[in-house]
Amino acid sequence: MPQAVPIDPKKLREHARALATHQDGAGRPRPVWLRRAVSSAYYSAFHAVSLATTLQLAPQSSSEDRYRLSRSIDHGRLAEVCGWIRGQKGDGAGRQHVQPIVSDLRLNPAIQELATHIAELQEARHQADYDHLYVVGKATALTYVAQASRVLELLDQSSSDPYLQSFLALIALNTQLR
Amino acid sequence: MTIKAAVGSPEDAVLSWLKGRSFGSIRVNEVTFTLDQSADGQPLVRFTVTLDDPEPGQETWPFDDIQAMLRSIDDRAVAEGVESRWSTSFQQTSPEDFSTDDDLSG
Repeated sequence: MPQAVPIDPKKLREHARALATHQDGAGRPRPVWLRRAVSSAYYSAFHAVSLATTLQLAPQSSSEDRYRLSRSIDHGRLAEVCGWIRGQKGDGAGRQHVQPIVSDLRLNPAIQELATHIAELQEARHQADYDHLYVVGKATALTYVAQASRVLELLDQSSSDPYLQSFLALIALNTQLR
Repeated sequence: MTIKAAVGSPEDAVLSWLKGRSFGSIRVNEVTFTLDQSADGQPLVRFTVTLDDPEPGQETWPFDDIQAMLRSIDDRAVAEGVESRWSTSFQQTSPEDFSTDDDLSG
């Protein structure tokens, strides 16, 4: 029986970069490849955040159980938490009792940066995958790959950081098991 | 469907502030915005920023400068009281010559 190969955020990021740079130098890039680069860049960041969240929730659980739990992380709920951190009024700031946590996180540059890149990547991915009129050039696609790289870097660098732990806790608690 | 926000709105104020501004080595040549929906169906202000092309020999813009721009837009949108979510996409000034060939062997 074939063995499952878990989704590796770093490999997805590598794939995104390969798609974005499929045409070197002055060659004409293929739009579909650039769209897929944007999509893979987002999923690289999304899976990295999902896995970091479930690792924090269940550090002693088996990796298989954490992979199962990570399927419950919802794109919309993740965007909502990022919106709180970015100060977007349309998303409020979560329930009253978590507002002091959100206020603290808003003052933390690394968490601000994380929230901005995740949310921007999500919007770009939605356009790349669904909007026929969306235009993405190579330079822009590569910037999205760089944003995904930065998300992975920030998660790696800050794994024991109390602010990151609070951010991941908000994501977990704003997610429902489904 | 996308619609334009009213002139004099918070979104318009962000646009006016952003146009012509530099962040490190990158310069904002043009900014537009539309009111749209986010990936999860929430109201969204979509800013589209046209930047100077990347430096010759560079594939893209310096990431620290892009990050500084995004952070500054967030701060400004909060300060101006933009009511909904916002998102910023960017493009280079020169039109890009894309392949129209979907054949992978081409």
